[in-house]
Amino acid sequence: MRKENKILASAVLAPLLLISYFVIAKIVKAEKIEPPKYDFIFSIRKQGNAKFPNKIHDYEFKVINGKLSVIALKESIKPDYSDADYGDWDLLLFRYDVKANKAIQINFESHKLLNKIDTDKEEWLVDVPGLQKLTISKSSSAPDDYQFHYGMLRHDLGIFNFVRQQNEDFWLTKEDKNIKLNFKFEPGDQKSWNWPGFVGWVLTDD
Amino acid sequence: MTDNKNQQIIEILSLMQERNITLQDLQKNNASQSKTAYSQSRLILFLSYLGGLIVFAGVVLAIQDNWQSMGSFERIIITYGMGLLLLVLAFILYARKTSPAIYNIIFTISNVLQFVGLLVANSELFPTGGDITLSTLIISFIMLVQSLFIWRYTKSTPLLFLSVSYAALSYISLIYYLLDHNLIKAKTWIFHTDNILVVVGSISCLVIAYLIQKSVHYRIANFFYFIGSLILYLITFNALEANKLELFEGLIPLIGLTACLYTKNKVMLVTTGIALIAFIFRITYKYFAHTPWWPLALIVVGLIVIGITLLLYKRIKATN
Repeated sequence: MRKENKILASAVLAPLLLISYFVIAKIVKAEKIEPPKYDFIFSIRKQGNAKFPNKIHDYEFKVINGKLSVIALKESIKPDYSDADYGDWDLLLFRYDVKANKAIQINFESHKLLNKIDTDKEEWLVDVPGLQKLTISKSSSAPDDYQFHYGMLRHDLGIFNFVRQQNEDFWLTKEDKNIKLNFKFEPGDQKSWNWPGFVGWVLTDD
Repeated sequence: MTDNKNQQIIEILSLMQERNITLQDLQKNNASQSKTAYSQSRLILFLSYLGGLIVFAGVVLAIQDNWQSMGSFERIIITYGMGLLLLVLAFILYARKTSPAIYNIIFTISNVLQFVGLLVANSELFPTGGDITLSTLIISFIMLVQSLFIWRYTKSTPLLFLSVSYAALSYISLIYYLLDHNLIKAKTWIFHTDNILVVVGSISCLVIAYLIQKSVHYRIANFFYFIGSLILYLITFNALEANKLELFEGLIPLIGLTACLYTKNKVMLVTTGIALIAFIFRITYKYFAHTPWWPLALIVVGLIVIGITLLLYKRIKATN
């Protein structure tokens, strides 16, 4: 083999061997990590026909004493930077079953619940039926250290940022293990940096 | 030497003496003739590429004017189909031993049209974009195999240029495909994995540029030296700064300067010089910006760097 050919072979093979090393190292390390144990709750905001009481511009989830509640927010407490009004958007709740690897929609008619509230208050706490027995943790990591991610996991690419693309995948990640979740958006679902919204981990079912 | 040949040489020498023509006169005349031939070949090459570019611009404008009214099939045929047609034409011209300037430009236009055609086919098949990194990886790899095959057959310099470019595009797409699908870690040690892989890739690009420089295709080496060194300095500087290791940034252009001794390439020397000056400016600004000595320190250090660069340049020129 000529000297030039040896140099050329090294120049071509070195990056490919390094990539192979990274791929194999990740697979080997991921195999050693236990699968996730905890289900989690997430929400989707969907453009729909829901009609909320006047003056409500948005809602959010809160966990109070381990129980999940929805808080409706009045227009007067809308942050200055926000010009969005989600008063007529529907709110869907899902529980992701990690063992069955599928999302189960929770029967939660947000507009019906929120229509019962007293609009003279600044914010309202609405209990979610069907979730009262669950103990929820709002922590970003589950007790087994898994985390929920939506979209691209990679960082800003600097000069190669033009290859960045919109990714709509859902992931559970722990160290080298990344599990792609079985969930697809439907038309009208809001997709942004904080939607779908992660609500919390289901610690216990009673 | 035959007697006949000896006789002819004696006749030539006597004629030279008679007309007062020396051997130096003959050498001068020969040199000026080859210089004229070189300039003429460069002019023919330039004109053929200019003609090719004008034809290509015309094709692009014609396609653009009718793009909206075309269906998916027509869009693919007008781009990829035309690329394939030009490929056949280029092969016919090559087989008939036409001027390389002509078939090279047709090979190049055909290659670009096929690449664009495959991208168009992808966007028509997946109107929402699909998996962009996977499509780019597949398309650039197909084009890489094709251009390498044609280059091996024709030894055409533009096809080698396209082959290395497609190889670089395939490599970048592969990295981001693996990252998008979480098949490699986003971070390795303290650095982002893609930064490590791009740095190794840019070093490979420089090595390939070095090999091209030593071959008959040396004219395209400068481009890959420029791209390779530029990406290498940008990525390493960003990665080291992100980890608060900016003091080590100076080592990279110094290694680059040492590499210049082997590559003996002016373009790489210029990018390395700029990288070194940028590092010194940034570091002195960060640590001495509010002292009265900063401008003076900057001028002195800058002059030292220019001096080193000049010495290196002279050494490179002397060894050439």
